[in-house]
Amino acid sequence: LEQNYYDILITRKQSDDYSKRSGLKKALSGFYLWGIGVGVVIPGVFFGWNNGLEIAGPLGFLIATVLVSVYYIILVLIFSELSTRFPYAGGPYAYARKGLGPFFGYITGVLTIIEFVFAASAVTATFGNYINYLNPEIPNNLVVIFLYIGLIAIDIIGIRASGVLQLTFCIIAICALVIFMMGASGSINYDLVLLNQPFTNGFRGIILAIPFAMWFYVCIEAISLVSEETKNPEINIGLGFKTSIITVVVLSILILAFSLLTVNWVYIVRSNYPLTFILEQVQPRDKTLMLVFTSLGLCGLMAGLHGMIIGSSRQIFSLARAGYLPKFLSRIHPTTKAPYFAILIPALLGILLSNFIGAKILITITGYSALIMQALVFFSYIAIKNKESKNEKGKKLHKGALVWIAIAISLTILILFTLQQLQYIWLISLTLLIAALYYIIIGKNFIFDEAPEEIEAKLEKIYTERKWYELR
Amino acid sequence: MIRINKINKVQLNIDREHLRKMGYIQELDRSIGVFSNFALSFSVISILTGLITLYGYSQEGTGIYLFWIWPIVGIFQLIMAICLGEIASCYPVTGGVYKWTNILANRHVGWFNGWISFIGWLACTTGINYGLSQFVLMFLGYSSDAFYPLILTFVIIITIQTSISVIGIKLVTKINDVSVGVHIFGVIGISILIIIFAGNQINWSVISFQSFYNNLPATNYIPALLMSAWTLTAFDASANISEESLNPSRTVPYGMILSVIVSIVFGSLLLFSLGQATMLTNDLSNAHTSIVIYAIENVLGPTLSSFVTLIIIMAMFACGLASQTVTMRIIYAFSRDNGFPFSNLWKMIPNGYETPVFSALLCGILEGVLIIFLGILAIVIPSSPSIMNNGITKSLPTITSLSTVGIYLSYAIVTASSFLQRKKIKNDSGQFRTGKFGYLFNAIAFIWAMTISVVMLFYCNRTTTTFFMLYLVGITIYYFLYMKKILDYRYHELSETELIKIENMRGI
Repeated sequence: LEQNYYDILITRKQSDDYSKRSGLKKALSGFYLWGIGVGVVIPGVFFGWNNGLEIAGPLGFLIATVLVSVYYIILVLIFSELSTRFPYAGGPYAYARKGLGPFFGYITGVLTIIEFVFAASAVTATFGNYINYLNPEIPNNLVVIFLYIGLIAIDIIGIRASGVLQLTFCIIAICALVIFMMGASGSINYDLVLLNQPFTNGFRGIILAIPFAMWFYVCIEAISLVSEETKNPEINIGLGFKTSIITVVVLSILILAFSLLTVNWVYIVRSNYPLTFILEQVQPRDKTLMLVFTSLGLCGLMAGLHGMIIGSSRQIFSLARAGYLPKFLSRIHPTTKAPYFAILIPALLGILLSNFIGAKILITITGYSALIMQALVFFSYIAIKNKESKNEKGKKLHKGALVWIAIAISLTILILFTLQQLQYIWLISLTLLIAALYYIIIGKNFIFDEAPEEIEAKLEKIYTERKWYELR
Repeated sequence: MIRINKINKVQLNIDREHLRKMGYIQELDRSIGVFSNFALSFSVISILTGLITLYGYSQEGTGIYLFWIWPIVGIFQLIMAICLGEIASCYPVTGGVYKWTNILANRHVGWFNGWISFIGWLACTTGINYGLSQFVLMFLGYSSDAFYPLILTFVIIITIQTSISVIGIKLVTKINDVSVGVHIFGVIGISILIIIFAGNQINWSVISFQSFYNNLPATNYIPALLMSAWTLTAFDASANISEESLNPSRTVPYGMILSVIVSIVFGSLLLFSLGQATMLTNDLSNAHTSIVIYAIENVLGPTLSSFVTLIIIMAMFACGLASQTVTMRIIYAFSRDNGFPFSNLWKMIPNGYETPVFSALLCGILEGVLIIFLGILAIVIPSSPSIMNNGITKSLPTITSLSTVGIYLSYAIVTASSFLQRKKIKNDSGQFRTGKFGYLFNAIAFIWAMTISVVMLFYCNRTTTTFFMLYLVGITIYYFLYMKKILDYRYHELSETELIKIENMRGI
């Protein structure tokens, strides 16, 4: 055992060299993290949530949104603590690897990838709709491909450029939302909410609407995925997470309120671009407004798309770096330190999926995989915390009760949701099955101990064993 | 946006020694870099404030063909910025214009110039906040010429700004950094929107030199000149935070010059597109509030125009805040040399703060006093608009012209004294030099500043003339009664070793 302990010490030094060689560049400050966090979830405010209105009715959907907001605030507190503690590109994979072992670490990573890629393809589909709205003659597939090429090019230039771009998009999108609120504020009518069954489907409706309410916040985990690229992670990650969630909660509740109070909700259910639709109803003559709002809204979608590409690429990169996925995916550019293969793959997947699956299914699957992933992360939080209480090194994790609340909420939603919508489950199960098979047959044999996430997990084990050895 | 994470200790020590040579110890927190320095000057120049609030007034003389005044003023002000930049590079101390005159001429001239610059800056801050309160009222849907709501908004704005200033320079710096983004994106956004939605109707005659040149006697150009001159000034803001800047000998001049250049470029863009919007609007006489907003509403519709108003309000707020920061620093620098009544109070930096708290409070109070006093004065003088008698929207030019006179006259005095002391500047030269062109630039800058201040003092507004004369008489009386003795008294100047002792004692 002693021999083993010294081995790890050597590996620690080796791993530092390794990080120097294959780590990502540290270039983001708190402000950029805010941009990435808000930008990646902002398309949720522009579209998608209106599908939930049909299921739950306006008041039911409002309740679902409030519930989800509370859940996500807790989630952000937990995630910011975890990613400050383990600032690695792996994000959720790193936490689950440490808490629950390699298999669950891998599965959590795969779920994160599914979440981000499916969300990106939902945004891609809507992007096409917006282009159609602006000018029906433009072939939207072509625009989407050009958009992806542009975004990928900028991501390959480096994380700094991505951060600046994301921040710009994000601010423009917020401007668009402010314009929307100003435009809608003229015709607020409080009676509109109560018309036409405020609670369709009752309690069941609220549960079924939850993925659509989650769509407001989904993918905010992107911040934890870029934590390896953050300067001063102790301060900035927490700052980025908290400021983003505050901004997004305020924005989504406001937008929801403004939408429900200005137009009869029955009409916005089926729209592919609900906010533009509402503005059209409220100010039918102001064509300039519509055009400007839709164009600015495109920036919101691009921000989301870009954030999702960054997020999924970091997850794929870290899994490949640790050997779970094929090694070539973890290649980084020598000067810009951008993982170019990992950026390319999810982007291709996003374009493909958006052509074959409808936005509603994509959103549901995104929400579902996010929920499973988050539950796994919460469990690993508990596991890490329990392990930690055995040794006294460093600052400890300290959110016991909150995590249990989060676990309770996520499991409840997950079980109820599974019971209600069995038809989507097979898709996720199938993907997970393939992923698991890949792990058992190939991935398991290539795990590379020098990746920072792996070393972090290994170290813990050694500390515990060493203590036992000393006691003897 | 750009923040200095690792403050270079070597640089800090060099800056501290430089300051010691000029006889001061480092009391303020030194943390401002090139970008933030530029940001402060750019925020104070604030094209969105100056051009938009005075656009309506400036059309009184020339109509909408006023574009060319802007680049002309721009070129001269650029020369002025280069000139002042050279001086700032030699003597980077808080207090700017006042300190430079002190060093280049003598204490008496310096003292007078300090007071002139002070009234210019105070009026500048007041003017910005006055325009801001009008826009806030407009945004909230009230009439912008109601007296009591206006004063109430004004007081609220000043209170908020003073609190932010008291909290510290770091917050102010952050707000300024954001403000640069708001200005640049705002101007680009507004211009692009107007130009796109003007459709095929882009009207190049807005910038036709002929329409600008061929009309009217010279006095008709004064309103447009006031707009441009008031907007594109006050870049000595950078110099006033030199004790808080890193490597000020380089940072300050570049901050100043860069802010002027960027302002000229974006100001031209803004003026061009505003010209387009006004061209498309037929019945400008219906504009109850601001011509600019009326024209923008005509082109872009009500929602977008209120969004534009929001952007303008944000820019103006940051501009007012930056301007107040500078005014505070002037009071601080002034009272550090005991040039202000009750100096000990204003120069005090209480424990736990990084800014002279009482001078922030004083600045806020004086803004209110100035606006009321100008109102009362304008009632006494025949045929001049006052905020007390329905002239609320029209009394902004009074305040701004007062500000222009103060700031330009102080520039004129500095450039005159630097012209007489070129050798001294050559000896003390910092990291920014003009070289051969020094004399020429200096002479042009002096003549330009003198011209503008004379024009603004005598041909623009009677209230301004009266007020400024009264002010000059007042400070002259104060000088002969009290100040002359103090300035004549050769008090013991602290040597560098003594300053080091004091620094060690106070643990700075």
